[in-house]
Amino acid sequence: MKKNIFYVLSVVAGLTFTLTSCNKFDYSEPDMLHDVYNSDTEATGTTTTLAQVKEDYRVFVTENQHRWQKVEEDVIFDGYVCANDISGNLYQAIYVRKGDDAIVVGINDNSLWTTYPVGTHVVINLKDLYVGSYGYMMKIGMPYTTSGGNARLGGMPKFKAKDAVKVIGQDETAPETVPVEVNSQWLEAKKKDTNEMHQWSPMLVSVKNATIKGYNGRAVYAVYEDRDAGNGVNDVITVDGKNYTLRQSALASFSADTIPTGPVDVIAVLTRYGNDWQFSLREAKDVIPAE
Amino acid sequence: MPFLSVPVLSMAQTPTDSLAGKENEDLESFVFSDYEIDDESTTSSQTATSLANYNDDAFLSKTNFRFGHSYYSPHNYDQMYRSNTINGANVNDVESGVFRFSSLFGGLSDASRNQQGLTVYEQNALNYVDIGGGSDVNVRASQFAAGNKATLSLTNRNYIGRVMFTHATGIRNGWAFALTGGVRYGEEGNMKGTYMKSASLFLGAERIFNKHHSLSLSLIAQPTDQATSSWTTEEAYWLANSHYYNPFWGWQNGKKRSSRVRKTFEPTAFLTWDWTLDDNTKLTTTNIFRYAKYGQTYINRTNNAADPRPDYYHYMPSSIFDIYGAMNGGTAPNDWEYYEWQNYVDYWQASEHNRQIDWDKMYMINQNSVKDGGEAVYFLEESHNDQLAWNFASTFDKIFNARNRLNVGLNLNHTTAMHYKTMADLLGANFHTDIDRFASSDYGMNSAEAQNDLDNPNKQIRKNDKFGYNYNILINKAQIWSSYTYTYDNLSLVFSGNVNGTTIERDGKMRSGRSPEHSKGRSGAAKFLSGGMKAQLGYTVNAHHRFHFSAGYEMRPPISNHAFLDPQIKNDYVPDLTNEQVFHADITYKFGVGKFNGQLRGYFTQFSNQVEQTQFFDDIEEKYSYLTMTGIQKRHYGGELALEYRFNSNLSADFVGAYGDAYYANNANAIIIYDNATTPANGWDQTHKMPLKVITKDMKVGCTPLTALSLGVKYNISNWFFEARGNYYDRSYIYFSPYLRLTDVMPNVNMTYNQMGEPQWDVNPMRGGVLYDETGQNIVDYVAKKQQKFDDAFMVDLSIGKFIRLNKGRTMSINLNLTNITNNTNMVLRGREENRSDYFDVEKYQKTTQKVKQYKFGYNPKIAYAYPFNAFLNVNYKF
Repeated sequence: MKKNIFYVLSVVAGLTFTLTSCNKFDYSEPDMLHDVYNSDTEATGTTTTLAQVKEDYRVFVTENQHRWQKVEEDVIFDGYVCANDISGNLYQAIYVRKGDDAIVVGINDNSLWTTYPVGTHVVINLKDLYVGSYGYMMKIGMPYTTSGGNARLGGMPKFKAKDAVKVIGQDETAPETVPVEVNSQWLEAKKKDTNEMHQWSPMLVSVKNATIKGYNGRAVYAVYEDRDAGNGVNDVITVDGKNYTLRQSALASFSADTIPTGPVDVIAVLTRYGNDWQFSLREAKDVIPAE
Repeated sequence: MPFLSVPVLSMAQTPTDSLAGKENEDLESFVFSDYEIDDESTTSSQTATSLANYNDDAFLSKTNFRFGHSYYSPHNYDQMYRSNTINGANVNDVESGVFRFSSLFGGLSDASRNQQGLTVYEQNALNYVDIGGGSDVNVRASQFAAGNKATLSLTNRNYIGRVMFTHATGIRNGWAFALTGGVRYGEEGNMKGTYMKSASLFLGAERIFNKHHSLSLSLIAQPTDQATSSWTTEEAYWLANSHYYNPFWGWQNGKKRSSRVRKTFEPTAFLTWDWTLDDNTKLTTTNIFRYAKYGQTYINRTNNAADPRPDYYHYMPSSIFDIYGAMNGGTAPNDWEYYEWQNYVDYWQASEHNRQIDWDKMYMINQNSVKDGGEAVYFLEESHNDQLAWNFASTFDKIFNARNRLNVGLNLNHTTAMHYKTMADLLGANFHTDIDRFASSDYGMNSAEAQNDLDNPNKQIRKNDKFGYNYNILINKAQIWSSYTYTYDNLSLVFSGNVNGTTIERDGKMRSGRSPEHSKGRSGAAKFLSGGMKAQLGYTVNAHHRFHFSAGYEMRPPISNHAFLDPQIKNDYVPDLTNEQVFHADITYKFGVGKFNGQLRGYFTQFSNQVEQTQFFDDIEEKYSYLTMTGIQKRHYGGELALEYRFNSNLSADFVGAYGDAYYANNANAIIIYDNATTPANGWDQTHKMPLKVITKDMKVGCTPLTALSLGVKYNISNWFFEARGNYYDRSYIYFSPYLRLTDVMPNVNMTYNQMGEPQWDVNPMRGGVLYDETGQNIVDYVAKKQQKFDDAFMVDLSIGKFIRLNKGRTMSINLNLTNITNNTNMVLRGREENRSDYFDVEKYQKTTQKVKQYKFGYNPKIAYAYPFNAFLNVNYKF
């Protein structure tokens, strides 16, 4: 009998220990920010500047809206991400800025904001990529053929971006994250000069006391059924009494949000559409009631 | 040599003694049994019968043992048609109809060893047996032979090592006690990124008061954590250069971590009262109390965050251009497309890290979000399907005389099933806001529709909090059954029938923004009265030949898993929910001539009014969807053969084979509902003004070989046992996608005529098509999308065992089971089509045109390869 009790107690004790310890798994939390974002690393190995790239490839941008050139050698420069696809309103692109120059970096991927938050310091190597015109704006990427058979400059392969657009740090206080404040006078003056349009498109800008009206009088930023072939609608932003297009994606996460009524301060990416300006929001919180 | 016994009525429900080492054949099963009974590489429910003793059915006794790896089931039935009982009480999960054997008995070989096979038509004193047969496990402590047994196992399957110990007192002074417990452990199983950590304990006590009464109490507990593996596409296997690529895991801080961890824990108590009124009269009553916890983890994300699954279709090279079209003479890729395709291939093949889940990146993204005061972008949620169940079974067994026997039974079941999800890990973030990401995109972040729980809007979810959905399903079942057996001379007749009632009800615990009026509170009970009857006539020609003629008709209530249109959100039942009807019949011939014996059976079954439900992401609507098929009719028919030739007492050879068909016999009705929308369920094809249909006619029942053959040789000498088996499988088909066969998703073709005035139309077999008449409101003809048949497969298994008698009555047995010894790594036995279309609609200038996606889901079903060569070494020591 004692033997039986011994067997029972030993097995029950052993298994009780196992039962209670079995389900405990410890995955220590990696401190990812420490390595990547704790400090902003100085760019090394650059061969040029963003300003110089915009100058060097100007001819491929300003003269034809569908022209590009493949870069065969190392052309390396740095910049800071000033806009991304955090809401899906900007699509498959990040906007990289250095000083008063910015460029569209096309990447065939979604959720780029998770890899390239605003303030991310990147080093870009253009080798094997294409630089050219995206509606007269300078873009880095790769051509593709549309379903209609036309060649267009699209994004680079998503896995190519891991090498071509390297993250070297983050500085959310970098001057490049601060929008350039503009008004209608500035906008109207700049758009008369092709060189100025080339200089300032794209650019992160802010406007004060603007008003926004939905497409066709809608109260929300975009209604899915209103979308055009590019999945977007053209809302209207009025700055100092001048109307400009506020290009809004019907697929953006805030497209169903109600547009604030009354004057608002807006941060947006300034781009060009033909010879006029166009605004695009990064996310809904870029629109705040004016003080 | 006469060997076919004329049925004799006796109380012969004596189970096999698990520890009583018997001679030759019993020894053999003793030596080999542990491997089969604890093998969880196949579907758990299929292992339930691997050791069941089907004394009188040569086919079932062999096939359940041999074909488990191929997912073969007798007659190609779904597992929900099997009856699984313990001490006579049915333990099938009443929601799914299926019994998860390993959740209860995993690691408890000795507790589940006393199994008795239950066949559909033949008399048994335990319970009413479903059309798929079944098995009963006897867990009474008195059935464990006195003694101790230690077991050590080594394998390269789901786990690496197993240690078990069993102690039983036998019957002493009217008491019997049994204890068995063990641990199974594998830091990494045979698939990368999988593991198993499991402990199991069985405690049994039985009091035999006198020759009339005994009371048995058994308790089981078995917490198990298991990281599982995934099915994926052939392209992903190719890129990973392995048919055993598992995308479910990734590195975190230098440590492997799985995204799919299954946690099960089913503490269960069995209380059985055996009342033997006299030698020919017995009443057995069993109560089972079960609290089953079942959880499975998944990665989830907020809006506009990239899908973290490494094999998500956007990350596959074939998403760049139509590679299948190009291979079939279509447009070749241009230089840019080829560059991008190669870039994808290079990335996949550059390192293992690139094709696994990137946990570190998810932490980085979350930590970035936290830095800005934000919430979790990625998080790990755990989906729970818990149950609190009470099962009751009481069976009266009366033998009137040598010719007449009566069984009467009562079964009761009350189950409360709890479905909810919890936050398992915020992956470095502090909270998650409980809104639906799809609905928030459609209706706005601040909309009521976006709220999962309107009573707690924008609730901040922290670790272990419930969120997303929360509802209970309440099920009550009651069944009365009876079986009468009559034997006269060479004839035997078994007639059985049952009447049962079922209620199903949903009790919502959250008020969903998509259905505020129908999501919280009780749905009201759906009630089903059903039943059935069956009969078997046996005719024994002489001692060498016997025939059985059997038939039955059953009405079965729908299972609750298919009863609600969108159970995570609302209380609405599937319209016109009704009993399923099953007609079944078979003829069996058993013979034994000299050293040759065998069994031949032909069977036919027709199911009507079945309901099936699929949940998937409709990427055209961009919504999670439930697609319910009703009014399904299926037919299963075929033949089964078992032959055995005994050369002498040491050597025998046998063959078992099944060849049949199992297919959908009509086109099912369809109802589709979107989980993230407020739109009502739709069962109407607006374009063609007719009920929505799924073109299911002639589709095969998926993932079960319709041809299964096995040839085996057994040899034993001086307590050495050898067995070699060659198993062949063919005509196994992929699980088809109902969505791709919806009449409003399949291409609609207008009728045209050839020069002879005959209707003509061309159909792409990869898509199928529906042909309408000139009015567009009547279907003239249709061709279903082609269902993939897997290549035939051949597998060779080998077993070697040795039984050793030691002094003082101690024994040792050693056995080694080698599976797939030719290391055939190209056998696909399971797979499913994705419920995603290769086309998408483009609306331009108020006109909708259909365009082709670059990625072809039609060419990329998710499949799984059978395991490569694997071994199981088991050592038992009895003392």
